[in-house]
Amino acid sequence: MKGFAHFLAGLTTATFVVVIANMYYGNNLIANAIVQNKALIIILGGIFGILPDTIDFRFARYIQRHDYEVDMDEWNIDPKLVAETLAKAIDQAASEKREVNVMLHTIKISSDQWRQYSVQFDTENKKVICDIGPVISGFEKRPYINSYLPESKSHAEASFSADLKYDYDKVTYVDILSGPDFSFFPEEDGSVRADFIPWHRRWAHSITLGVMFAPLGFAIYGFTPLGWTAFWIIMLGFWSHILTDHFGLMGSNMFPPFTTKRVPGFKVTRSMSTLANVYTNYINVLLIIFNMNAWSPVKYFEMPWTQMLNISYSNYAEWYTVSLLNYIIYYVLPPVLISYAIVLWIRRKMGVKEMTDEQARSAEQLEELGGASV
Amino acid sequence: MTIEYLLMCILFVVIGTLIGSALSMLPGLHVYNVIGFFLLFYFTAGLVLDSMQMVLMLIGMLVSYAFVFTIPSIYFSAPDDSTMFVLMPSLRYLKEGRGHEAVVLIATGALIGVIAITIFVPLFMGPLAIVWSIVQPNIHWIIGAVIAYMLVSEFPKDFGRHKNPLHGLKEGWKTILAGYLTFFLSAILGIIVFNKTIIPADRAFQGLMAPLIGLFATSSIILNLISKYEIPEQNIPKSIDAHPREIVHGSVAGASGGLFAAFLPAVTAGVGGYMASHAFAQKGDKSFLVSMGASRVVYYVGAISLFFLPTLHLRRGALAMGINLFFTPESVQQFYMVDMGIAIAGVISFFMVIYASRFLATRIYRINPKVLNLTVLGIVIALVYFMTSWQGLLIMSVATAIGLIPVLFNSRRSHCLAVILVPIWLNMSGISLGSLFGLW
Amino acid sequence: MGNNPRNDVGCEGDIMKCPSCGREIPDDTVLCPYCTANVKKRIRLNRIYAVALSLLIIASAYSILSYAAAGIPVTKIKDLSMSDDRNFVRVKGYVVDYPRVYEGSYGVTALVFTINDGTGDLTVKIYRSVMWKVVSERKVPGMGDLVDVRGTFFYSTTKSITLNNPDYLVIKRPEFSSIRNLTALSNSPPWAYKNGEGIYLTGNITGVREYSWGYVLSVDELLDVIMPRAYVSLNITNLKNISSGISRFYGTLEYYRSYQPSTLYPVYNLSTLLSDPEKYNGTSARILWATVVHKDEANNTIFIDQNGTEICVYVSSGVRYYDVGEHVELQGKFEWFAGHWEIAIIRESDYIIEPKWELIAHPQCELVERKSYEATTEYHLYGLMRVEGIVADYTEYSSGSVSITLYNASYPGCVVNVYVEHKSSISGLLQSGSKVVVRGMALIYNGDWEIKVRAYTNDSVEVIY
Repeated sequence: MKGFAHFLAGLTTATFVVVIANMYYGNNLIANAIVQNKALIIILGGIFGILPDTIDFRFARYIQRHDYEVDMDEWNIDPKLVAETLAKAIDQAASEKREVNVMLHTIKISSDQWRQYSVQFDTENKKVICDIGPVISGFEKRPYINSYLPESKSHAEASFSADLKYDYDKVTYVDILSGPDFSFFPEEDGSVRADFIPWHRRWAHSITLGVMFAPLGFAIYGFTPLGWTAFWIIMLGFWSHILTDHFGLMGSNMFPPFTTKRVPGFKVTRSMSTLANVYTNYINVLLIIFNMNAWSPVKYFEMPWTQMLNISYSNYAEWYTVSLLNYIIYYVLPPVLISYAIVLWIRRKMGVKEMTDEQARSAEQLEELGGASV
Repeated sequence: MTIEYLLMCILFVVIGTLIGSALSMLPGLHVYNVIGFFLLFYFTAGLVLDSMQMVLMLIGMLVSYAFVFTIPSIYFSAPDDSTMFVLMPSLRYLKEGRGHEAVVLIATGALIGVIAITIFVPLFMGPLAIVWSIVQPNIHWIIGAVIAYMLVSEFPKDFGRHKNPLHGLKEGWKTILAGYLTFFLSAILGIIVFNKTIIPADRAFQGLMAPLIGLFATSSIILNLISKYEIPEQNIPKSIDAHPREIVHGSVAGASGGLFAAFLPAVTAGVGGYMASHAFAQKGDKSFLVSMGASRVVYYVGAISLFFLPTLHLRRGALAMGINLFFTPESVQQFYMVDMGIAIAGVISFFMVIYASRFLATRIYRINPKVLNLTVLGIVIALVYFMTSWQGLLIMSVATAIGLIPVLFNSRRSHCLAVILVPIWLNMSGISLGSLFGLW
Repeated sequence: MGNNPRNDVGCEGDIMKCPSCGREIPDDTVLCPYCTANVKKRIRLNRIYAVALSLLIIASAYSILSYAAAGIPVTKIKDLSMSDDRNFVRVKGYVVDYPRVYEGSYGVTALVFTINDGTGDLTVKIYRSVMWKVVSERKVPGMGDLVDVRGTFFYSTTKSITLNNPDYLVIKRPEFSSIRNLTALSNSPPWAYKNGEGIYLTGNITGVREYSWGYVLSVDELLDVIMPRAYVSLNITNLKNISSGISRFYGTLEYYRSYQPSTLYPVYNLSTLLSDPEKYNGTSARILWATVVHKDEANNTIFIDQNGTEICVYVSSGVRYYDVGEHVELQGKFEWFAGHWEIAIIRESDYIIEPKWELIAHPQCELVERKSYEATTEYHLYGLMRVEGIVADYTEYSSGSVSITLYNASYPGCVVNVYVEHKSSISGLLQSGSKVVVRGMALIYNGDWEIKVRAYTNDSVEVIY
């Protein structure tokens, strides 16, 4: 998911916390602090909603140590080096029983031209295959078709002996901005598990860290109702990031240091597609508007169900729940479902293929690596 | 209303569009400055001009500006606040001899923006009014969230090569810190400009001109002067390389960003477009160029449409505020006339852009970019001096220095928009930093 | 740089020009090797031009709509709600209060009046430039005018509308009928006229008192004319001008009660009460109109007469204010006391007042006959006089008024009584023995001639030495 979607999801979570805190403290206490006293407490939700990625891309990636770095330039292109380094790292992980990391750097030619190359793990034949691709332009990744190298210069293979478990897309492209890195872990049964961009979605994307950040709320507002609200906003805002990420395939490592592996995601969205981002943002914006209306002393719109069931504001919790349900069914879902049906129809007509799980998993990681820094 | 009156109105739209197109060709000149001039003239001379016709003329000028800015921003490369996120792709197009194609892409986006404004804004009249009522008391934290997002979404650009974690942190954080420095300095400049009358009081209505020109125009002109590039011969294509999907994606994203910016105070097209490009997971130059045009048009023209929209009447942007000095939107009839004006001005401006670009594209390579940039710099400095006197030049030079930071450190230029965002946000949140700077 | 694609283009097959960058490329390529543009799948410019021209359809649709759009319908005030906030609306109603102005250190900033269309009240606000245009077009409304106003509606605790253009204020003034006998008017009972009835009358201004909301002009010492401050601040009415002779005042009548009674108590006629006194014993009664016929200050009682029926009224305090011949309205307890039926005004909610008809002035007020200050020794009622004399004695009152006794041998009794309504009319330091020139109006006070120096007029007391 893009940073923006996480930020919005954090804000949405914060508005829900404010609504619930309002119910808890009564007197419209928290909402008045926001609307009348101009408290900025909701922004905390957004900031902590985007924070896991911020930590990963601004800090965690620098802590990652690499045993091998493959750094080629346009004049020294050597596919064999790439293939052999990876194969060596796999075997080393198996033989030395330790984690081995390999960093594949991108090949930059000019301000918006990069040389693309790909890495493929053939787990059946136990081979690493590297292919040097064309020069591509900028973020569009359009190839300059005359820049393909001859087969002899662009193709190399290297064999390894350990059993490799690799869950991602078979082919990984290294092209623009930062390159990906691979980690090879020795498993109990003697095989080697490959992890792709190992520093991402680890300890920073965890329930534990959210709990640790939450007391910051008291640091800002003290042990006041606002402080408690900030506590929950920070914690739930942080968790909202993990939850939205979990709709993909990758999942996150939820409880470090007690766990070390990522918990697989819900597999709802196939990739970090434009559509997934747009829908998330749409839903979030609509929910924020609903919540702002719900805590406003003047209600600018009323949902018909509350009137049908004859529920008044005095029964706020019930009024809120029924309104929200009504709102979701009337306004949030129909545009999403209708537009998604249209998109599906167009896709089928155009014959766009769905990604496999492996491809989607790779796309998820690569998207954030390249996409987050655009 | 008589047919004669309607025809006169159309005539004034056309006049406004022609004046606006001519003036918008000048790089660095913002239409709001021109409109400020026109209003001054209108008030002092007490022109015997029907106020509705004056409004339509100003709208014609605004629409043409939102289209024609493309010409200087592509060929003369003197971008203002909202052009910076597109500078890179447009420069690339220019280098490849595809300047005209880039202009067509932006103009197409702008065209779709105009269609969106004239068709969708009236359709969503009711919901927009409700949403505005809901948003109004919460606006301080929404603007605050925009600022927070601008700050937290700056990512390192170090391409992952580092010797050790510390070295990596240093390399990665260089651009981030440069961005924060830009933001901080722009914010302070903005607070000072908003709270102290530095330029002569009778020019105070142009108070933001000097800092904005300094932050966005002069700094990039200086960059153009120090960097070596040549404008190659441009090709005039009969078709453009784009997929309908890219155009739809770009215009939807751009229009949303523009509407967001037009709807909220302090948020400009640059920030709105930037947020929308993230929200719509945008990638690719063509989509960017299209969204660029759409967001600009929807920001500038949409603001006027929202101003005249019955039940809403939002005052956003200098034109709406200027018009409000002598005119208050009243009837649905006026809204129809404004939409008519927007549509007519849109058609004229679109073809104006296309033909101006065709004219320039075949001649631009003969122009020495150094001479061109120096000329533009001269025009801009003269303008600032003329409009805001030497105090304005002083502010402009400070702003230029700030504007050079992102250029030199490769950080995001939108941080310069803190010059507007932060003072207005502080004002809305009831934080008065102005007194801090009022002490001296 | 051998791999750089720009250096070697394969030249097999036919050559074509890249439609994007214009360089020569092989005929069979899909992507241009120089600019990476897709050569085959492209959007033709003509299609975009067609889209652009479709805007003309939208433009003509809107021009037809704007041509056909009708004027703005009149809205009832009660129908204006939050959803009309900032909308442009048209409302028709009567002005129910007199116009007010807001004055700041920069002069008058706004003109405000309230209208009612029978469904609610709405405040009309007119600011600065529009306000001055309204004034110059003589469109400032008066109380009782029927106005048709179009403006921007603002919804808050009070509904208001802001006028943006003087053309959007249309005023229909009431028919003014002439009233000649001011004495009769001031002695008229509340049912003699209708509240809001438009009349005009002529007379002399015999006194000016200032209040925050305006001026009270006493006309021929019989009728009070309320001159809203708005008219004076907006230079529509010039007090100095209209006080320098006989003037004509237009306005609407209003029955003024100094105390707004609650309508809790029923109104009775005295004859009803006294026809069956036992039945009404102890009731609280309101008597709307009665004449004082006798006053007994020692016992704090007055006797009032209503259509020939007389009764005693006990007034717990301030009985001295009610003189014989005056008309009063009162409310008190009807009871048997010390051998007679009386109305006792004792409780806090009880009251006795002297209500009277007043004229709420309209803006069009004019001078009919100018008088000049004449240095005569003969007194003419309401004549303007210029009198010289030596101050023999003077008294300053806490209210700001000053009474001066002037010595001048040419006047009857060698004395001229001068009453200065407000000391601001005196220029110079007033002392016993000072020589002064007094300009004022000749009036009879307590049977004696008196020169009244009216405030806010051309009247003055000039101290020579």
